[in-house]
Amino acid sequence: MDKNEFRELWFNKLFTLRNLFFIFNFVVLGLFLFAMAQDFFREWRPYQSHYKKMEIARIKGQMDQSPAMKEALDAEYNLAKSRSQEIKQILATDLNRVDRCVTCHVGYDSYTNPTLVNEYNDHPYAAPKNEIHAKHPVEKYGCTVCHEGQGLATNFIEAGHMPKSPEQKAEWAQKRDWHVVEYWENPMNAGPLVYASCYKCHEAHPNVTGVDIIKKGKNLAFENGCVGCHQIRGEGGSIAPDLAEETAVKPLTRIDFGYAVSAGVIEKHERTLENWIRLHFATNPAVLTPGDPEGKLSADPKKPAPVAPTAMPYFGFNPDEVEALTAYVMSLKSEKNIPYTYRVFSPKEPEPKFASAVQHGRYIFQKHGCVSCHGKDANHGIQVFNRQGDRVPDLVKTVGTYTNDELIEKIQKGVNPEAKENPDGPTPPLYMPSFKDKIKGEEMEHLVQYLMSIAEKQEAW
Amino acid sequence: MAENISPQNPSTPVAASAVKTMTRRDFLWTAWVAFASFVGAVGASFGKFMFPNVLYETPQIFKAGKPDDYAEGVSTKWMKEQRVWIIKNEGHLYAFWGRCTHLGCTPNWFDAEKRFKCPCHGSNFNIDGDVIAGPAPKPLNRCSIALLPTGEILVDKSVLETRPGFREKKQFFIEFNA
Amino acid sequence: MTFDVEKIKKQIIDSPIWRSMFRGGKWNDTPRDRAQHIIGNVWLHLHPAKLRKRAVKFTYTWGLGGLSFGLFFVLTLSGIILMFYYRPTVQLAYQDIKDLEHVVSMGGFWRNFHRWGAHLMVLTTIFHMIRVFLSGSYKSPREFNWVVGVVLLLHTLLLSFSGYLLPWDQIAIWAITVGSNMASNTPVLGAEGPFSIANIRNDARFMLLGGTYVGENALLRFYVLHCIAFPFLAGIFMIVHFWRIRKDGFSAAPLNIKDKTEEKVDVWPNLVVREYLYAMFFMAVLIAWAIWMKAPLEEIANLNVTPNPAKAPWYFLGLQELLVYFDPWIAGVVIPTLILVGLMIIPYVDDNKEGVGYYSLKERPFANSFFLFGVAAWFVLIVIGTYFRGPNWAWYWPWENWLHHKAPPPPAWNVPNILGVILMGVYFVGGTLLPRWVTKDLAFKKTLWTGVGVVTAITLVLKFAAAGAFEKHLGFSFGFAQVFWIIFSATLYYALGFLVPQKFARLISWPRYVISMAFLLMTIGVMLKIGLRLGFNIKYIFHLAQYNFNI
Repeated sequence: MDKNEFRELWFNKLFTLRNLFFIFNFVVLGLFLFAMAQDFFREWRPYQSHYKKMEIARIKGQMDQSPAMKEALDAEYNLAKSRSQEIKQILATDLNRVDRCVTCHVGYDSYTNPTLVNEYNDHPYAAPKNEIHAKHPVEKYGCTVCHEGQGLATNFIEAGHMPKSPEQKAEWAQKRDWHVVEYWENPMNAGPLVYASCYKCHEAHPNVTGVDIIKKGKNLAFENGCVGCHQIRGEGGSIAPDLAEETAVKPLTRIDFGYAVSAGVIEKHERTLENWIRLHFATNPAVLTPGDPEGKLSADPKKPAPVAPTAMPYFGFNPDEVEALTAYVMSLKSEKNIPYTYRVFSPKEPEPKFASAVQHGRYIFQKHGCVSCHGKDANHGIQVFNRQGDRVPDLVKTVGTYTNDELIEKIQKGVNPEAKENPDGPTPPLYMPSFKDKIKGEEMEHLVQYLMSIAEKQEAW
Repeated sequence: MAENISPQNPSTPVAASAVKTMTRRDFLWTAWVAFASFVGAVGASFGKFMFPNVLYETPQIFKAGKPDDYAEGVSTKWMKEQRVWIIKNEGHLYAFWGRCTHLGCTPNWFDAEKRFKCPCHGSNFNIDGDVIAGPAPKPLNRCSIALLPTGEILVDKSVLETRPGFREKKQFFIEFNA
Repeated sequence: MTFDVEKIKKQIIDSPIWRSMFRGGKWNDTPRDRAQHIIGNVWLHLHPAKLRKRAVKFTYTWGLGGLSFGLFFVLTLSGIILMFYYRPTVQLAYQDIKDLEHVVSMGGFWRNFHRWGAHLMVLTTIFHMIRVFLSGSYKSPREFNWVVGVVLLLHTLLLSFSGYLLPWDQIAIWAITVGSNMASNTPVLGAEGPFSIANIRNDARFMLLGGTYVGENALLRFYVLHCIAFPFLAGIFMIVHFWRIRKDGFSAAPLNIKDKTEEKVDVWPNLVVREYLYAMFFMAVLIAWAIWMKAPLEEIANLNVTPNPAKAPWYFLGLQELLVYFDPWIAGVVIPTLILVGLMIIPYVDDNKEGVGYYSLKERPFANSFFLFGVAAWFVLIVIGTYFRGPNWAWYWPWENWLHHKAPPPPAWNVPNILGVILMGVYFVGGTLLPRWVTKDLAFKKTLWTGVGVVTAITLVLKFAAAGAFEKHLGFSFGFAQVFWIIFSATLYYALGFLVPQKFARLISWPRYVISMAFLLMTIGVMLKIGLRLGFNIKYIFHLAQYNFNI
């Protein structure tokens, strides 16, 4: 076919202006009809129609069973039959929320299911089944204040669903092409993590079974002395970020997942705050924040300024403990806009009483987080990068060399910064902070008594 | 010429002689000037109109806790709410306004590299706020900062200083004994 | 009962109501009838009754001007629809966009359509300008219409940019923060600009935003600008633009203005049908695009957290890339202004009578090589900004993972002011005079390759043979990046800044010559500065830090 023949066929036979006129007009129409169809057949529609079908079948079944009830059930039957498909939403104005979850989770919709009781067990259809829902009516509270996620969304992924187990994750990935919601800071709190939300309003532990996980996390945090370095709402050590005001509210864009992803401890598309917190317990934090110990990233390569890896040690928690601690840290997140009337205040828990000064001293040793570095029985110091001697001192061995007054002074002043092992290396990331303002009076006396009581006795010279 | 110009008052010679100094053409010219001035004035008033006289912006002053609450180094505690870093550096305390001096993005603090990096155009600042790389023309702004009698730090984001020498003055720089 | 369709049609057309609406008598499909149709219809009379045959050909105009207007039209329609569900307040704007996406019938579709249509319109407008330039269609008597066209291009960009803020998400607020901060770098009138007389509460940016940061006032202002002010102004300029096109003899400028005998064809149906087909084709593309891709919507706007990286809309990414090499007052204010002014004065500076009404590379070598170089540089910078810049604006190859850390850029240094002044003086004054001063006729290709060879040879000598001496006396040696930048910069200047004007622009009148050379040298200068930064880590050639006057 030479060029002219081609032109003849192409322009004068196939794509004449008249043919193009037909083609384009029908293509435009077709595409637009496709867009309309796509808009109409949204993900939520099948859920509502299925629920409707199940309701009709259920009422019909009841009517067939007892004809005497027929009359009474008639109205209900007609109502169920005439129910139209629509987007449903809960306006929780006090809590600044518009939650459209009930568009799919029809069992929770008090218009479709006024008694909020039904016999379905599948998730999108089931009615609320536990006592917490009874105390927090969905019409008033909405869903996302506790469960988090994107209430405005009307499809599965955008709503921010999170799997509660690896099995569920695999199932979702296969069936629904699931991934973590993008551009929404608060995906849902899956599984027991939902109890982290209780603390937005309840100051103390509410008396519900589920919050055990939070209690456990709190105890673990206490036993391992997190407050030695971290503050929680301003209380605690100042070596590391405030868990409540920084960690639990950190915007995702600020979190540097680079090292964690490179090390392969997390998938790129699973970057969430929850996972970031979890990683600090599940893996060695030095993997997440390795620093720059050789000064490779320094502004001037000729004058390297090395930076130590994070000071946070690897605690080696088991998976249950990891979950509990993650849930606890997540529970520290506060929400400002919740009105006063929704909040449940409680008095501060009283300090436990102790029979002896030494026992109280041991409690003080825990309470102020000394255990995190010096070990639970003050006999095992953790490793510190580039610190002279490599480790935090073993108090059982060293305390005996101090007099009471020297020891008090040392605790009050702290050692900042610690001496370096390698003078060209980075400053050790961990130091003995000053406890001048934190441990005073009786607490200090008892702490010193405790430390002296466990110290190895020095041989008299 | 006067006859041509003032046909309205042919009987008043005084008026006629007064008109003589101002021809009709001159008069038109002044009228056009008046119109142009009017348009200019409208334009100017529109311009002024666009400058709001009151603002509903959040206050620039806040209390940032006590110096002892902060660790040595950069604290990002106030970034989310106030866009301010509190820096404790060798016995000194100062506050940076978290706004890149290039085009106003919020840099991020990279603890591993001990530098602030701006996501928009790649400016880098060190812990003193000085530019160590990238296009920013000036060091980071330091906020006015004061120690209240209660021991708390008061930060004022409306008073800023970038110049070395000035930014180490008492208003922007707290010395304390750790 | 049967319907006679023809009879009913005739009855309708002959009815007094139809006749009162549509002018013209009986339709007999004669040339006269067709002309009547065009002239008698307010919408169609923007066309002449007949036009030159070349103008109908697709590959002459590519339909770009008409498409730009068509897109403006459908953008107005979809914009009006969207306005019914959008409230421009900080509390509600983001939620309204989410609602459009999730609950409004077809809301998501119209939002996508509007968003992608805007991008497409920026593209068609730019390419329309390139087409008009290459076919020499801005020359007399169309000079002023070219200027109006540049104003319309500016309005297209402003419309697109102002609409960027309305979703009130992170990309919106940060694009506008960066953009509006350029206003505060305006010389004299901006708080951070050189020789500033203003403060943060009365400078140019404050006037634009109605506040000291992008907040409630800024959102409302951008809403009004986007929905009313800019469309209104663009509409006025469009009327002028179209009226001038019509009065200046429609598209396809006459090859010879005196020649009235060039073959003409009827606009109806030849042009009208084709215009309709272009429009429907682009409609199909746009609808498919809107179905296929969702318009981006990130997290709700937060002034305290900047996304990393924070990128401007693509058509401004070239400028954003320049912001790495220049202070904002140059990259954000001076360069855009010079580009606009430079574009506007093209028809007045270019007095070459050749190459009107057809694509002509050979007849207008200087104009075309300069213009195409500028366009290419603009798009190359856009591509770099879009695909090669990652977190912290570091260089990432498109296949690299953005989560991996890059070494920070090395520290930069400044050229001493005296040396900088001398360098710039030599560059601009010498660069202007040199091509005119060499009066010899040079053989273009031979001179070009000789020059490039000499430059390469000298650079390679510096790199290899003289490296020892350099290391010994100056304490440094050239790296490969530096060798590349030296060769690139020298070749660019030699070819475009010296040879081309020497060969083709030497003999135009002095004022035109000086203006052309000034713009040419500035364009090349931008590239040279990029080379200095990337190759030699030079931050400023001249700096007066206390006045914010740094180059």
